[in-house]
Amino acid sequence: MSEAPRTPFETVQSVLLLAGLLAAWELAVVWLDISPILLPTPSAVAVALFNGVKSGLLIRHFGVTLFETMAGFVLGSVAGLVCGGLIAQSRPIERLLYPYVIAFQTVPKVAIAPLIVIWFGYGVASKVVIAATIAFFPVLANTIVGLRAVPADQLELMAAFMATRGQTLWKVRVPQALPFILVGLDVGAVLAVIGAVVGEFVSAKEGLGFQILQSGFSLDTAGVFAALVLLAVMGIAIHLAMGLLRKRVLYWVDDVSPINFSG
Amino acid sequence: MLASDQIRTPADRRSVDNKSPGPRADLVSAHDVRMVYTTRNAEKVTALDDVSFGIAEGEFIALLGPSGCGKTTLLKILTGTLKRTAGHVTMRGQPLEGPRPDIGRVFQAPVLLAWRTVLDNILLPIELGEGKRQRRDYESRARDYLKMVGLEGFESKYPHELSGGMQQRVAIGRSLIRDPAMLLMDEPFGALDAMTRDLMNVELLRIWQASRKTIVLVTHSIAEAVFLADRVFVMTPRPGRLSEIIPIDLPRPRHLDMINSPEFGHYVRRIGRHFAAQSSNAGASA
Repeated sequence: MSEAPRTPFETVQSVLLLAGLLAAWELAVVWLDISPILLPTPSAVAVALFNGVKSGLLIRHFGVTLFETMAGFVLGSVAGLVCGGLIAQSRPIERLLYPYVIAFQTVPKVAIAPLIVIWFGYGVASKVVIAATIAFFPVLANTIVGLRAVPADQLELMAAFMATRGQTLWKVRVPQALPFILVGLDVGAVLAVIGAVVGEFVSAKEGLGFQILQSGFSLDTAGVFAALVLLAVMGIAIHLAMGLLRKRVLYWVDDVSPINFSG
Repeated sequence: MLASDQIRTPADRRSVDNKSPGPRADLVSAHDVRMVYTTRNAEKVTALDDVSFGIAEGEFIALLGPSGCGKTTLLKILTGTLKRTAGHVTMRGQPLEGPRPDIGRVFQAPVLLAWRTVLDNILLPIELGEGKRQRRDYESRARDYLKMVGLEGFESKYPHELSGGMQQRVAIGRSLIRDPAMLLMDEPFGALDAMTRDLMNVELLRIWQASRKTIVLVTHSIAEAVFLADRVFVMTPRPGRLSEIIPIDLPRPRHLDMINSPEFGHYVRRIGRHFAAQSSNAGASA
């Protein structure tokens, strides 16, 4: 770790900052007499969140979105790993396919969400497919780049020790690619949440995206915020889980700060 | 494996040599080795031309020359990872046509695999050559070599926990694990600071003495070559040629304070003049 761990004092400071901001927000809304439709007070959001959780409604939507996200992420990243691994096996194939990978990468995949809903229906399946499509590309690109990122002297070492192609792949290329792949997975996991919510925006009967739209239509702005809080919780939890995975898998990397690679 | 009866002292070494006064059969010999690279613009560059030599079993050879004289190219050809354009190289009388298990290789950088512990790095050649199951048979030997390179107790450390000098020691241990007849080292201590480098050279001589390997070491330091080698192969660039072979008749074991002896200075000056003449020739022809 390049950074010193947080001290308790710093943690207290962060919490105080949040509390201060929420208090300022609350007071501003009350004093300036802002309509709750425009901006609800944090306390109103907390009440909406509490009621939603208590009635089980928000929990159910949270569960649906979480499932769509995770299923999409697993599908998309497994496909990305397999395709990336295959493409990286041969230079000619990589040269043939990589321009298309880049081209697809630049297409905003959110824009094809309505198409996927037409193809896969209004249920959970279409959201899973959208999440998978979005998670696929960063994993794919990072896998290809990672498997190629082997220093020449390591390859010469393996050659001098008469390693087979398979040995070089599993004992050098794959471990060497892991830092890249984990960055791809991290990006893919966060994008999968976006994919699931966008799918729900297009058309759905459940999920946090659906709930946000519903609350919006009925001018229940506090309800929108409550759903947003849950989405934020989901995103942070996924990111933390990826951080743990990273530490676990990359135990041999001295500095665990992520490589800045925008797949 | 390294029982004390296998470790010959310098006196033993000399006495064995005295018992066999006749010419020893070469472990490796090269005849008219030539290496021509084709650059991207289809130009031909001769990296090595007319290189011939013989290396006896147990000898310490220093390949000395300025950068770009083909030292590393020659070492790669001896490793078997680079195909020569022409000429013959034989090891133990058989043509050398690719990497072989009885040749160990040490690179400029340690080239350790960061996700493997020190012990797993040293055992990598065994895993590659004989499979994971055979590992256990070599673990005690690996520990012996770790002890020999001065890293006892570091078995389960990861490379990033070691200093540069320690990492290169691990690399030397790794090159020894298959018990090769010959070690090929490409400026193994070039990346280390001068003080560590001197210490590592003394260590290397100790390891050489203990393991009785044939060593070919690439360097561009005249003093290092004289200090380490039985014979110095002096190379000159464009095209890379072996211009002179200089036997170093300094007593063994050698100590760092020998660097200040007049004999040592004599060898260093003699080889230095060689390169000075080279560069003035180059200047005249330019």
